[in-house]
Amino acid sequence: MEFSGSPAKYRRFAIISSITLNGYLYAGLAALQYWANGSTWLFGWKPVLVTVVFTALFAYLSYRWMMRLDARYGTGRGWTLESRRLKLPERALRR
Amino acid sequence: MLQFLTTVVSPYYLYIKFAHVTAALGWIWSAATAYAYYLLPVMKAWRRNPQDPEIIPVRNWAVERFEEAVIYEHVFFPIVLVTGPLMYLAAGFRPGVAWMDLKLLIVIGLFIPIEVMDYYMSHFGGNKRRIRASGDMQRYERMVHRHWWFMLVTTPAVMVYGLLIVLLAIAKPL
Repeated sequence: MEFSGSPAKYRRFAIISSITLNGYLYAGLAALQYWANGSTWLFGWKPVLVTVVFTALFAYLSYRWMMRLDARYGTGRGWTLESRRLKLPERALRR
Repeated sequence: MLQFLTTVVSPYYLYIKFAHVTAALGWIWSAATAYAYYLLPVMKAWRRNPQDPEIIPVRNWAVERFEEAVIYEHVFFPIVLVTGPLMYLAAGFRPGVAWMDLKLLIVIGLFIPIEVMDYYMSHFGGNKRRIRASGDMQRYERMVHRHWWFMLVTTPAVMVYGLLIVLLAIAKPL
């Protein structure tokens, strides 16, 4: 069975999840602030700009991060990969 | 009712805070070493050499051990969820404090769904040791893949927003 992850999927996920998550946080915070305090400071262009920039940055970093975790980037030269047979301890199954 | 609860728990605020901070740090960091230095190298080796028959047993062993390693994290998390609202009451918080609102939005909208999924993957239906014992190795492989997907997509958010809620709690910048 082949693992279904691919760079295109990681990129799509990073973009969609960043927009969803940061959109939810911005909308939620703005709504709570307005509802509880009548405060409208989050509706100004600066908080919107910060949210948009952070969303783009987080999407980019998430994509790079996922690619690195999935061994798509990097040389891996900090680790060796030699064939070795060993017995691994296993925990007994509690029934 | 809320006023009554606030009155009851207020004298214990600092003790509740101690339990909350200890549990929050345990929740965030307890599995970090196992993840970074035991699980990840093996998973990367598997991803570089997916058909290597000698890597598969090591990968499976590492995943099953990691599911044990997250037990501390999953004991601490409910403590965070209980002590958090108690602190909220004890300190007399109400909605409208921006740093607290943002922190709660992150916990409710991001971390609770992630942890529910993680509990399932690690200890309930997705537990690899139990699936292996059942002999259904196709499901085992499928669940290892699903677990790896889960870790891939949640790691950036957990690291960034996990640190952000600690920053919000300590620095209270908003």
